[in-house]
Amino acid sequence: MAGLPLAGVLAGCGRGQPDPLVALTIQARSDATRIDTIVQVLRTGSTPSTDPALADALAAVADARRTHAEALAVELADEAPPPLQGTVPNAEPTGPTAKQSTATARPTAPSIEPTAPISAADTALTSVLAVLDKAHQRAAAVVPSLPRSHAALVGSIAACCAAYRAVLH
Amino acid sequence: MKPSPPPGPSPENRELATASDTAAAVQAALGTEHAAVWCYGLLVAFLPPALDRLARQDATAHRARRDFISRTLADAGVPPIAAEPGYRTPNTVVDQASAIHLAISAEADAAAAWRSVLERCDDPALRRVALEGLTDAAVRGAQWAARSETAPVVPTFPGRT
Repeated sequence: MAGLPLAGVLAGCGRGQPDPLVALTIQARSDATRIDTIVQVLRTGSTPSTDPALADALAAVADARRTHAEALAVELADEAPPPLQGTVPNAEPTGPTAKQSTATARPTAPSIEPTAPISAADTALTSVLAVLDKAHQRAAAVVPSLPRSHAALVGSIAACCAAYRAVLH
Repeated sequence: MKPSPPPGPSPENRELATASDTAAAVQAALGTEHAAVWCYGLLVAFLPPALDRLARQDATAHRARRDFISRTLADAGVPPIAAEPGYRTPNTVVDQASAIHLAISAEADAAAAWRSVLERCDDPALRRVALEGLTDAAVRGAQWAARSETAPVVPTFPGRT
């Protein structure tokens, strides 16, 4: 997957503000990685989940978040100006906001203590529900202020996260 | 004491009154809400009691949104479109499975219409209304899909056609 263009961070909405799509992209990638890890724990942990259907359902959420990240990255790439002569676009965003986001985007092992199959599944589900809730809230929060061309995409992403949360809950 | 002047039109009303593409998109979304109310009225007869309650809740939600949008359009001076006497369904409803399929289709249509409003408006308040319509339709559609063999249960980009 291509990295985020630096111009997405610097250009933003044309007012020197970070483009909200950058943070949403990083978050979507981070969510996918985190949920992948949770699914892996469910499937291959020392005490595998007694509910393989849950692992499959959570894997679908990870796939969706990965696809969200790809779609957002495409939007950012489309609006990025060509790089200056003699420069190479950064593969990762920079700047205070991007650094902060990148730091939070580092995948970390989920705090799942697979003490018993049922509690592992419950903890996994609770973690993914929290991830989806946050993703929905963050996407929904920026929809009112985005350009038309991005509002529909981000609105759909918010709706997807809300729908997954509803059916998993 | 002089009466306070009547409030001016809200920003979303101004956009509806002046932007033809915005008004057309909202009218289209209103049309899908009319259709959804009609569809739920049809399909509820084919559902068992356990699902009947869910269908009635969803129909109530669509009626509320239909009425709100109708009022918003009227307040902006745009005559809201009326419901059709009947609607052509994508499938014949004969049992629980086909009834659920119709509910999923009605919600998908509503989601697509509200997503289209997001592409055709700038006012933040109207954006929130459209996002709520899109999200609610996506949630309801997913809840119906989860009760059937329909896949995917949740589209990755609800409303995108």
